[in-house]
Amino acid sequence: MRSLEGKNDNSVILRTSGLTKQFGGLVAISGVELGVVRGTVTGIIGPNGSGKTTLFNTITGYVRPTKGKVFFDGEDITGLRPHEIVSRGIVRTFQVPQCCRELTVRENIRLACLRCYHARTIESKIDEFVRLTGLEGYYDSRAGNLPIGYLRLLEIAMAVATQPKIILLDEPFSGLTDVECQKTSELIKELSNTATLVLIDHKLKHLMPLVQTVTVLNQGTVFFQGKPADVSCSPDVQRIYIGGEIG
Amino acid sequence: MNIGGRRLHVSLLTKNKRWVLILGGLACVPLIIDNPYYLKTFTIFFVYSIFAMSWDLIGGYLGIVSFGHALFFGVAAYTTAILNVKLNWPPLLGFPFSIACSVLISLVVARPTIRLKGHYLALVTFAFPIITTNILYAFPNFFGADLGIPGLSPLSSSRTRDFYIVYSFVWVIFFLLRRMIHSDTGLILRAIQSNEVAAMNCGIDTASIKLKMFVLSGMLAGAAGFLYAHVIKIASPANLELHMSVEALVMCIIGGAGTLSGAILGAVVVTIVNELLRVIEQYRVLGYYVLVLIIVLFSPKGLTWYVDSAFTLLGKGKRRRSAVIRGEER
Amino acid sequence: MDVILNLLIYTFTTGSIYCIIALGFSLVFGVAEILNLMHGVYYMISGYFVYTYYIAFNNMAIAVALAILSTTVFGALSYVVVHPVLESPFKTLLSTFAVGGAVSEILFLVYGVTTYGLPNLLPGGFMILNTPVIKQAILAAGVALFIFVCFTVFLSRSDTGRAMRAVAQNEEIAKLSGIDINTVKFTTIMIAAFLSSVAGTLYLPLQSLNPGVWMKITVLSFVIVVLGGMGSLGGLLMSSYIIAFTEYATTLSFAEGSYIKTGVYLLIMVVILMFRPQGLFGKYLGPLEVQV
Repeated sequence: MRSLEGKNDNSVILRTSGLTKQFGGLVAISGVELGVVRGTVTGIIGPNGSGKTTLFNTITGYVRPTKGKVFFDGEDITGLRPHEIVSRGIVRTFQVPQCCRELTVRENIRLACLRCYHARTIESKIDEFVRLTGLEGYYDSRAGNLPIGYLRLLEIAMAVATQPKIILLDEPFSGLTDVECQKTSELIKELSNTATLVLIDHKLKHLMPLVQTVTVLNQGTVFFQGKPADVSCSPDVQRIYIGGEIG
Repeated sequence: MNIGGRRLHVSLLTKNKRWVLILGGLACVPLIIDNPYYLKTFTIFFVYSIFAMSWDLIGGYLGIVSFGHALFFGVAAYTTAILNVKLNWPPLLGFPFSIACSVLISLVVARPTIRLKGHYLALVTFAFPIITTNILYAFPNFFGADLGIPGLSPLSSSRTRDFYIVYSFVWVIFFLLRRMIHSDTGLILRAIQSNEVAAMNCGIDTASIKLKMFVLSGMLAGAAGFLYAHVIKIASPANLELHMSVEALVMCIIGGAGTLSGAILGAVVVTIVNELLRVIEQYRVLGYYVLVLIIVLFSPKGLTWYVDSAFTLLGKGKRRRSAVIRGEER
Repeated sequence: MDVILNLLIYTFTTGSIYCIIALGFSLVFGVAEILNLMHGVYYMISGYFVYTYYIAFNNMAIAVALAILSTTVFGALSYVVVHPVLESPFKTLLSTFAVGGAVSEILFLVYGVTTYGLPNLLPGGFMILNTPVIKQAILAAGVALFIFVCFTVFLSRSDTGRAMRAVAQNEEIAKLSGIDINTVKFTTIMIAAFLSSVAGTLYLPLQSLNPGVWMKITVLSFVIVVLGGMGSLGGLLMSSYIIAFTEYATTLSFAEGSYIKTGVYLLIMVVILMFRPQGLFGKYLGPLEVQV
């Protein structure tokens, strides 16, 4: 995996400018300005329907933005197709893990390795990613038979295999037990050593300790941005989470 | 697979031993069979095998369920017929042009076809052969309307040689496709069929791969059409008919496609059935439809999961993909 | 002037007929999610039923009534035959095609290639501006439109109609609401057969019977449905007229027009699917979905 050593120059690796997406009459996100600093872990939180996943979708090319632009490493990547975006070093995971259910764990990871790794090294790389995510013992299990926790790990293994500079994780803690969340947190900490991370999640208990900055979305716009502590204390943020508690 | 050269060769051999035997066995056919009619039937069976494999490549492995595969078949047949009969070109020279025409047609048809799924795809692929037949009928003097273009020269000077020519085509195509299926390309194909979003998320340009496979499929179907035209020595609108397209489907259903050998197996069964039906010549077409119906109604429940997934899972196309992307469902 | 009048008359009469045929197809597709490749058979077989009953009873009115009844029963039977494989769309397509082909062959064996000689329910014609108009054609169109309007009311007011709409929109939820999906689908196919038979019994006597026409009618139906789009009855009506118009215009414009008209409107369908998959007037995509 690529190391970020020497590159932690506080430069912005991913930037969105006025990003807007409208689905018919519904405005999912509007005028979102986001700047992700290289080497950091950023959290994106907000109530349901605030546009978090749409933000990911527009950044990663699964949805074409109505207005606005996305810049990665200085390059304008707005409107590129998902595979082109992956090849530039941005990978994302989904709320429902997207793995090939009919293929085995080994085959799924192999699939992800095809783009970046030479045929001779793929086998050892597969071992490396399996070890990283703790999927030993499941090499030849059909992905469709895995419980959700392991599916997420597989998805992360596949994401890492694409040699990403930045990983966008969409609700990595959703559907997991506390113990599983712990393990996922550890994995995320390890990932943050080699790639910039952006996390969306609702489980603030697990998300907050991991992140250095937090962006709060509400109804499609950036509501608040700042350090985790500031966000937790802000009464405005607590208000938009109806009946919710923070931290 | 990529473990080491030597182990690779050994595994290839043991896997293929079965096929080498079958290959060898079938090579002896002309030595055993004297009757030129039966020899021709065998030859036609081989042509059908190629056609079935071409369909299976995209239908069984990618979930692109083509209801109009006869298009490529017929276009190649007509191309070689025109070159051979009207311009007196030898078949050998006509071959690359037939293939080129099939490739061209695939590219034309690819754009609307590849992006669609399920029922939509069925309708569009269904439409193209009919449109083409209409074009043929629009110029009856050139294309011979109902009767087509008769009088093509045979592939070679003897039926036996014809047999071996087609025979070599089949096995070359079979083994090449097999190598591809068992390679990483095959993995990509299976991945796309299983979950296209996951494949895209691995940096794979799925649209481009689908296009390439589609064109390859059209090319192979065209090869089959070319051979067929020269074996039966006529190119007619029947080559383009829905009946022909459905043959491909039926062959793959029977053979339990998603495997190349299934396509060949299906071709065997269909050829045999067609020949047996000749006994009741008057009721042959009826018998054919009834048999298809029985086969479809009584085939095992999960048999066509790979194409059904193209209709349901993947095939609720936009709604499904948006749901996935919105994070609502698988 | 004559030409234009003929064109208009043809568009009106044939378009109205096409409308209820396509309506049946659209219902089966939307409610039961079956792309019924044998849809054209209902239309075709109603003509043969009329012919047979007329020979038996020598009375057109009775023949028409019986034919409509028989075709509806036939529609029910076709559902029963295809029913086991309904969960597999692929198998459904193949089996509907096979049944259609088989029925067509049987009709061919029994009746031969073409059959003529049915009198009209409403014999004779009249003239509009020096152009002959056949009364039967106007009757057929009128009845078709009337049935269409009745059906629109049926769909929005009646319990069955509501059930059908519910199943069309979301089968899972309809099931949870206590609707018997199977019965609804069954009824839908029978309605489709009924609609086609109304069209067939009134319009086919004007032409000859041909056992091969089912495929053309099926193709026509789905072209009209794709062009009009799902979920819009008005769109279906408009689209039927557009197709009828195109058909006639093509026949007029080209020497080989009558051979290529199918190709022309199939080409239109392909273009629509490429650029506006929801059709001209469609409200939702239904089972017709296209990927991003």
